[in-house]
Amino acid sequence: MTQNLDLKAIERRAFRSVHQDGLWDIYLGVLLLSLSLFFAVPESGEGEGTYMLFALLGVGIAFAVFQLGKRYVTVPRMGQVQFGPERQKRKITLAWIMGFYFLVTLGLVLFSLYMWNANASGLRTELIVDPSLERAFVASIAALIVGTSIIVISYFKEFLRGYYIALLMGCGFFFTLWFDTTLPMIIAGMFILVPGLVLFVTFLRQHPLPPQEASHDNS
Amino acid sequence: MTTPEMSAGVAAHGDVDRLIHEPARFQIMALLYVIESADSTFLMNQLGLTWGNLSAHVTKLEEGGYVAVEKGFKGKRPQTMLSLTKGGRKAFQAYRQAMKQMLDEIPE
Repeated sequence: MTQNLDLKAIERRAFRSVHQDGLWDIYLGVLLLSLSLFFAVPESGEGEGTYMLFALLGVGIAFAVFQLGKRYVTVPRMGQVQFGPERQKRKITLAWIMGFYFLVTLGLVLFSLYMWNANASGLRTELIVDPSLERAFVASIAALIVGTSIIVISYFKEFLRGYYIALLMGCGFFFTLWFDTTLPMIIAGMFILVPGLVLFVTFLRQHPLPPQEASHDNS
Repeated sequence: MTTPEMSAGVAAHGDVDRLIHEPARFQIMALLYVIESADSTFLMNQLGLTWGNLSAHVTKLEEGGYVAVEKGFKGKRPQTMLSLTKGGRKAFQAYRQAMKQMLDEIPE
């Protein structure tokens, strides 16, 4: 009885169950694999447009798979639920934090563009003179932004696998930028995507579509 | 032999809401108490109940005025959302209180 009366545990279990369909993992895995294409552009810049196009297409596909998968595949099997005001507050807080992350990232991208342009036009604007240190610095910043943003999302969404995904994404970005090769990002993406696919298939097996009357009538 | 403490516990047991006391209905009430609302598919998955079983218990809770059933559509798909009524929330709180009291009054 004591166990049954642990209402917080009941709510937490219900909330966490929403992320057990593997779609978040698939989304983040495909996203990382797509983003790796941005870093696969050859030094010569040959076919840059094609790489960019495929990368953006991949990002779009990842988003579509997540949204359509939730709407048409997993939610009809899992059921609809609305959580209490406390969860709504956390959702709004998360949106504010993510907005802040977006602004910081945008600021860093614009700053990088400014520095590149300034360097290209012959001005000495390097903050760090040693190129290898500069690379490590950029890699660390990127890994930190990506990793911590996923950690924050995982914390607010109580998405426990998110911490492991954050670590993989952070490492993927860091080593890709540091070693200037897309392989770490591809490996990290696969380590996120494959468990996601396994979870998705397991979810489909464990959650068949409910009887038609379940969505029509309760009496 | 019945002790006075035990008698108090048994008396408290008499106050326990029988509509909620059934395990499956208790589970339904507890889950709906901690969320805003959910459809029957979500309840079936969370509680491991069959459709028929859930439907029967929800009907009893609805008749008791504890559960509100709202039928609507999400897009073109029919959707039935279940939530606790104010009376249902109060009844569940009272049930928890009565159960705690009853268990506290039973001697070690």
